[in-house]
Amino acid sequence: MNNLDMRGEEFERNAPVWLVVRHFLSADLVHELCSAVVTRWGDGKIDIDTIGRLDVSAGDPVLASLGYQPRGQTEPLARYLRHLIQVVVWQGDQTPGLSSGSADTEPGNVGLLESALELSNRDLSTLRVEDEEGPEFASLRSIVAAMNALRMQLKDGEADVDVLESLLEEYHDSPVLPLLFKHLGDLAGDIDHWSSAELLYRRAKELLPCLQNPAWALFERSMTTIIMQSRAAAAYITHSPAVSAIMLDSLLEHRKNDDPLPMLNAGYDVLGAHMAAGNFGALGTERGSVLLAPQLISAHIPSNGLGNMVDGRFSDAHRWFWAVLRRQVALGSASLSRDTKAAFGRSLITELAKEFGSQQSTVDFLLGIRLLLESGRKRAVDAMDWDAHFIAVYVTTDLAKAAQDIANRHEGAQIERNQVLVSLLRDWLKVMPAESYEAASVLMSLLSQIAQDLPATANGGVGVGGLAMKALGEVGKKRPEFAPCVAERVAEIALVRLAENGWLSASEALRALSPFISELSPESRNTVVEHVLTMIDDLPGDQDGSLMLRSALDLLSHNQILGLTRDAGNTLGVRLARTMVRVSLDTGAENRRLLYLLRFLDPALIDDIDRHRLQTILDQLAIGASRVNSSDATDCVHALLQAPAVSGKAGVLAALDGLDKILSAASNQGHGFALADAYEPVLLLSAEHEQIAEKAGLNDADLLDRMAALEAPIVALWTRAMQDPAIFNGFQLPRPTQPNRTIVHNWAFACLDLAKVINRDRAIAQVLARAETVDALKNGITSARAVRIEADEEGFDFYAVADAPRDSFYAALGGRLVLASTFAAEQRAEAVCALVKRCLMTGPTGLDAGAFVAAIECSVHIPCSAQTDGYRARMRANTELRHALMPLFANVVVMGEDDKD
Amino acid sequence: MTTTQDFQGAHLRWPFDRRQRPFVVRVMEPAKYRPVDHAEIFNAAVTSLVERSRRTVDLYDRSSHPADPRQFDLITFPEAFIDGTTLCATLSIFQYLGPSGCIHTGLRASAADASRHLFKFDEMVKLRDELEALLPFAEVDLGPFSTWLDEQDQDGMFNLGCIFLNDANSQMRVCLHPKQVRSKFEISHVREEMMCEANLLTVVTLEPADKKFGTITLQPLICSDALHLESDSGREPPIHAVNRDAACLGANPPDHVDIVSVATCTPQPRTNLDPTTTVHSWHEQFRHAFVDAARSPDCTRHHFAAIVLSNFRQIETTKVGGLSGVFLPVPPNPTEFGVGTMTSVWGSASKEEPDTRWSLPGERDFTGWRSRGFIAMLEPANDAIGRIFGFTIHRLPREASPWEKNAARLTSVEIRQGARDDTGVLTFPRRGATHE
Repeated sequence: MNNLDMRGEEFERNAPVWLVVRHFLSADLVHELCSAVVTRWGDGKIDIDTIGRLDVSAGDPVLASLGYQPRGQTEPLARYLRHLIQVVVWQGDQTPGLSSGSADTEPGNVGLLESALELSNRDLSTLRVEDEEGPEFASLRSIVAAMNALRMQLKDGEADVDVLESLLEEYHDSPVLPLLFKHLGDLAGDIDHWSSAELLYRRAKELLPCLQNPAWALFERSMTTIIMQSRAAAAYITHSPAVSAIMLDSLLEHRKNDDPLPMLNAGYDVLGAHMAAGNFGALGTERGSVLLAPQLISAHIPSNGLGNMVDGRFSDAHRWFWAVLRRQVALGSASLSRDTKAAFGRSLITELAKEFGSQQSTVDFLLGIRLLLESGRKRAVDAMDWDAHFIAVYVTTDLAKAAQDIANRHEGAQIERNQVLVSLLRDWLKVMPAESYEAASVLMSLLSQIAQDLPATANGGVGVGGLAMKALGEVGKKRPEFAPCVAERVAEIALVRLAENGWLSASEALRALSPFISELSPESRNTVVEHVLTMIDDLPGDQDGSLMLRSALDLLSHNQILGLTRDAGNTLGVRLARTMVRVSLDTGAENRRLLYLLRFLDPALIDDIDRHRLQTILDQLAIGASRVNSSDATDCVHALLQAPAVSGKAGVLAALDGLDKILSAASNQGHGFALADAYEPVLLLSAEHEQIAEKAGLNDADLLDRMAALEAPIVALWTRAMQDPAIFNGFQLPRPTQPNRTIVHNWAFACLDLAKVINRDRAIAQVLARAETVDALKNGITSARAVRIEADEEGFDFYAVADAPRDSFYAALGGRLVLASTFAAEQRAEAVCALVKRCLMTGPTGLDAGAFVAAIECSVHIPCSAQTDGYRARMRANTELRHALMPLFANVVVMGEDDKD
Repeated sequence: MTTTQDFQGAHLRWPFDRRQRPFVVRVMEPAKYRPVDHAEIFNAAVTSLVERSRRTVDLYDRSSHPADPRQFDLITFPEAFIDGTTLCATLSIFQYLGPSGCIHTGLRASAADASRHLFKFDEMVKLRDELEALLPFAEVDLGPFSTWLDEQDQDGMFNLGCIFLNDANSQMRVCLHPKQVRSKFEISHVREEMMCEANLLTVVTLEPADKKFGTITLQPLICSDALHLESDSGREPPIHAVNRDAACLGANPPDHVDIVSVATCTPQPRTNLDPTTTVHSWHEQFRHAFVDAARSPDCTRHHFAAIVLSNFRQIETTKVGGLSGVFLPVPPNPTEFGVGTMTSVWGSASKEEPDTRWSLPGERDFTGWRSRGFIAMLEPANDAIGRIFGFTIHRLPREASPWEKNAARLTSVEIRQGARDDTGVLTFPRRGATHE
């Protein structure tokens, strides 16, 4: 039996365990291992040549590479083996993946191979005791047991080599045993148990003679070097760099002439260890270098560039990126070179952002943007963060035009580059300072041009034109100040999209157009409305609930469009109203929304058929309003009050009945969720009772009487809430024990609103004051009072200013300043002085500026004190506020000469 | 309850508050199978999908807009998800919500013990009794289950699922359904880990209060129930059984199943395209089951069924699952559903390649495809807690006109990502919406 056969036999016999430690093997041995796996699992029917071609380069095995060219396979087992070799060659710790996801249903028991690959990437923290007994690693049980034993040993102390050796006994006559010990040592080192790693490395070295068979001689040579270098690495940590340096020196000194590994692998470690030990004379130490198969694209990866970028060494990073990029380009790489460009571009931008304020380079910025555009990697750009000040400086009109040129320079790359450009423009516009309006206009214009010129759909999804339209909508919503410059154009594009036969692009266009409606001229707005109404008319039946119809309704429900329905003499308004009624009636889901949409509508515009259908809806809403065991009850009440002209007297009264029942049910039963949002109809009634009465054909006094009747259940509600504050909650799992502060705030606000309208301020205020004594309700009620200062306080409540919690004080500050501005000079100064003093206690915040300005206007001066000193110290520590607040502070607080800096 | 030789049947008919034709589905995909966390995820998901956002009003901002339309007709959670205590606590609150969509979830015997998802006989009896004590209609709804339960071996271990809703009259309805097809993970030498195969077929017909809408029949399943696997008893798997053994569902079994909701916990196969790209696809047996349901003569009641799938993304350290989504037996339009999702298509790739097949893992360009069905699913992602995949089936395939192109398409696709707010509370906020 020759050496090759001997190794082949060993690989075949112990293939799974060799796969676990395959990362120690040289390329030729990996080749032999793969062949052995195919031979064993292929069962004579599949051989390595049918799986693919494996080429090992000539020369010393430690320097050899392995090339793998898979061949197409349809038979499941051959396909699996082909994937297995591929993942072994990739070295990415993947597993081939079972095509069915289950080892049981795979041919040829390949689950064993899958387990071996899986076990090879486990560390001690991801292994569990159950794995030892479980089916997954059944054939590798002794290795799992050794790993688990090591983990347990390391919990209390050092590795017990003898115990581990007994667990691995089945491999005692196999050359794989020293590799297993080396692997266990690596795992110990991985969790920072380096002294145990040393013990295991030592045992691995002792076991190496089992590789002294001529068949394994070269491998024994390289493993000796690897283990010795690992021992030195461990000694660096457990002892000192000096000890490590001595071990590495010895390794290099005793290397055999024909063994390149010590010099190539250990050269840098020798230098590092000497430097760390303070032996700078070692700088001249010779180090080996490797040129990895330079004609292979896979040998050129930007890892050095990325590593330097992470460390903030940008010039090194950029040199590496360029070095890799030009080699990738030289070899004709299209895909990997794009990844490098994306990384290079990001690195350039990151460096500029880091140096922003001290250095600036528009050339480098443009280079970075060019690389990003050329990469075509939209996701890489989407993941970037942009700073407003940085954008304001770099993103200029010229830059935008240059970017556009690059994006459109080549037809083949136009789509992918424009996708990147859309992401850049969108993200820049979202953070761009408002004063950069000129640049923003150019960017908006560019986006609209892309939306107009490039396809809205592609491959059944959104195309780059559609992405640009969507981006316009996002920017229009977030930055309405930039909307006017392109509003008309966006409308034109949207109308083109509507005319095209594509529901996806039309829906996106309608949604994108919404934020621009306010900026359109009345003529353009009417044109849009006409087109959308025509589109709705032309839609095939059975479209209710469709994205397109929903988008159209959302657009038409814009206040400035719905306003058209106020005027019964406006033809377009009449058409709009009728379409809204018809579409909404056709879409059952929109029943509640319908009343909201019809809030401006003159009922005379509704035709008889629709009026009849509408009445059915109103009847359903009236019934719904009385079903207080459903959270829908509130929505029904609210809907009936939204459009009183449509719901009429009966609808409004049904809503009031429903509201009364909701309040009573909450105070009697304490469960149900209708109460949570029932403050909304109370607010609506309080604010609009006159209009509601008029439109519904009610006498306002009668309506006020009905509203006044709500006082009793409201008092009962707060009384109940004092016992059970958690009744102020919406739906929440598990059941909350504390009330929702927002709901308490809104209920308190709504009750105070109602009280004012029905002239029962004092009575309701008393109830709330009692409720406020309950801790769980206090914050919500206090904050509601705070935001009603202007409406409710006639005098200035100095006690409230002094006692209010910080949040409530600031919530009421605006209202109190407005209130104080109505007072006579002396009283005003007194009030402002109280506000400033409270600011000095609780601040600083930017809101203090308002109080300071008022104090300066009233010539209020506050003497310096420990309190003002404290405020000044806090303010000066706040880099954002100190420059703005200090002049105001200095003009209000009288500082002595000693106090000035 | 009616029986056939092989099966007992539970055909429940619940009044349903159906307000529109589009059917709104939410599918939960927790990041990890870690039972101690399931209740929190379940509570947060249901709360986020039910509760609306609010903000404090003041003198200048008191306007309100109409509430969002109901956010789900069906939410599906994975297999072995919540324990009986969490279920009962949920129902005790949920029953006051008013008419709702359905919630389907896998149940487990213990939240604390990760290995205890199967129920002992006594535990099933206890859960049944608790539900009957809690809900007025439970005794009626659980009648077939109780009859089946009384006949079971007291030493048997069963895998349960649950579906519940508030009906059109605001009454809470609940159904327990046992798993019928054992997976390979439920075969064990330990008695407590060996699942008994059940033989109770369950379907729920949702009968709209508004008669202008049609009924919707839903079949709740647990993971391998959806597969055509060999069983101890040799019984048909549930999808086939609802066709062949429909007599067990009474004198008037449903003519069609519209939705099959599958709570799963299953690893998915992976394929490496290159050293840095790994792609995932639905397990071959599931894909086979989907195609089978759409075209096999043994599955005529399921030809137009949408199959909704909820799965854990990571099942164990090394087992990756995920791909929660829906199979629809219609051509996809569009073929992609936005960032975070992916599509797998069944059909023929081109005229030159006329044989029908599933698209290959990682295949994204479906230009030229003549597709007949598709799976829209969540793309694997490294989120910490979990995601909710939301979509609307614009027309259930049975309600789509054959002349209306692409009527049974997916719309309103959204993904909600789990996150903790400033107070540490887990929520699944809608993008752009905030709670105060």
